[in-house]
Amino acid sequence: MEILKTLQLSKHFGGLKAVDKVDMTIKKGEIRALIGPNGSGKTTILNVLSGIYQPTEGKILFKGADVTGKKPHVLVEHGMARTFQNIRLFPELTVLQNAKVGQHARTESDLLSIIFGLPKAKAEERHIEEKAKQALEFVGLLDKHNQLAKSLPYGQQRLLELARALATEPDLLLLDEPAAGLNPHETEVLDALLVKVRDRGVTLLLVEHDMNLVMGISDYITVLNFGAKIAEGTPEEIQSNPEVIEAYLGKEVIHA
Amino acid sequence: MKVVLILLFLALAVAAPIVVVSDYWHNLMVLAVVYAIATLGLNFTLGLTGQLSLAQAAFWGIGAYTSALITVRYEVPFWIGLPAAAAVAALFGVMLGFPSFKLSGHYLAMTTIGFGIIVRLVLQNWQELTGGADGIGGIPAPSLGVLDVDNNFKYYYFALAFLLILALVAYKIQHSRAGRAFQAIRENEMAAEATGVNTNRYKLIAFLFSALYGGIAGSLYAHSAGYISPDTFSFDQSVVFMVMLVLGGSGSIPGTLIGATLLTFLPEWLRFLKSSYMAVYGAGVMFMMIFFPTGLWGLLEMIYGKLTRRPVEVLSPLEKTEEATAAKSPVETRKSS
Repeated sequence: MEILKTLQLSKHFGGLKAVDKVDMTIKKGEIRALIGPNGSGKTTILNVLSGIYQPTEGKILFKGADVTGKKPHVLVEHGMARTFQNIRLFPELTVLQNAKVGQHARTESDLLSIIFGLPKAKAEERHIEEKAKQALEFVGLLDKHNQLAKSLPYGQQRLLELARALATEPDLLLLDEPAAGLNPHETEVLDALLVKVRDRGVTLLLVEHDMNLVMGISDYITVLNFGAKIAEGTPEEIQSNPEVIEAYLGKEVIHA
Repeated sequence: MKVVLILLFLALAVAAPIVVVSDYWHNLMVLAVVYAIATLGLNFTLGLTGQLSLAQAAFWGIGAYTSALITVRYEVPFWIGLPAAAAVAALFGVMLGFPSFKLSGHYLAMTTIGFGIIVRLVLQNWQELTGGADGIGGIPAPSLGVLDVDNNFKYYYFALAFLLILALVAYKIQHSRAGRAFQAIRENEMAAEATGVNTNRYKLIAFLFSALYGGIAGSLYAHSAGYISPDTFSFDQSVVFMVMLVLGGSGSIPGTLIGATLLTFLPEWLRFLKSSYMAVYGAGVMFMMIFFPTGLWGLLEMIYGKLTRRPVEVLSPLEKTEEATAAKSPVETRKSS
């Protein structure tokens, strides 16, 4: 089943074509990597997919429904979640509170039931706490649940962002350079976690520079350069693709 | 600990006008309660949601004038004036919420300041409606059936009841899904939106509650003072509310109450300084803000944290292979909600 499909998706900033007519189809349960040199449009495309930018052209179909131009919080309701390249936690909130915000779109207590302390609101609050704790336990942060998010070391902050995204109970998870700044061991832990996430039925789209992670974990890879798709295939196919190599390393010029 | 503090606060609040007998001080106590309610309102926008609103005095004024006009001109009781004040103020609050979708920081602040100025000018110049610079007098005292709340002593307890209810409501909201949504917006709006929070909607709700509380405080003020005039509801007063909130502890309810109370009484306590009191007051506020930006409540929490120091011992999977030495200092914790 196709969980995400983009049709001629484009994002222009004035004259700059940051994303240029990209067609991409991701199947449910896939781990798809999106790679390309810096500036090739990977983060921009994630921002368009997650509703932070409006596309200039093209369509986005999520689980068959047209979600082009919908706001990010609506997409979360549909089942799409994301993490950020430069970590965007809620620093003055606790680890647990950060994770609880993830459950916001899955719950609906209105202010009246909250103010009057109605049983429905209380039950929902217990449910939120349970789900948030489950997400924290999954990434291994449950014991730190009362610490302020800002006090976590970098690697754990990345894990918290992942936990928060998982707490939204997504079907598709967009990850923007989740391994950035992680040491090799931390990257291994992340790798294992991502596989576990996929095994639970979540489809992953990951933008990443760490080639070991990408080649090791991906089922399929899409390569961008200058905003356009230049190649797509399995890790083996991509590794030996001359256009990909040229995009990253440049072309050899032979002088006569 | 929390229970002890609440009981202590209640005891002090109830005993205050009995211990201190002069009507002058009772008047100040009523004012402190009114200010506390208004500042609790500001806590929704500025404290929880991080929206730089400098219009709280305008909502306060809209509430005061609505309640005063209705009860004086149409001779309806306070119990109609109060909800009317709250509703009209809330309406304006929602209106002011819309600019916050696209504006933030200085630009939003300027918009709210502009709104406040317009309100004051309307109150001052629309003679037929508001009585202009003459103000409105003869605002009736609230009536509780047999009893009229017609002196400061009675009014204090009357207003205190409102404050306790409103503080409880604010507490419930803060420690709920909605409260977390507000704070998520303050902490990182883009992340909040991307995590499923309808940020526009919650900004409107924050402004609505801010204005609602301001309006209620306004009505309570009008019916305690008996007379209101436009000068009271100025930008300066919005700044006072902001200082009360930030000095007490922005984002915290106890902080708000402390800040409002302290800043109501501080000018009185410093009166012995005569002409230099303003300088001392200003310097005191500056000192607090530079060294204790989390306000008095933040300072108290910090002291409490240091007194109950515990070392941190547990390691997470990312640290397990490195023989991480146990953390040397306690990590900042806070009651989760």
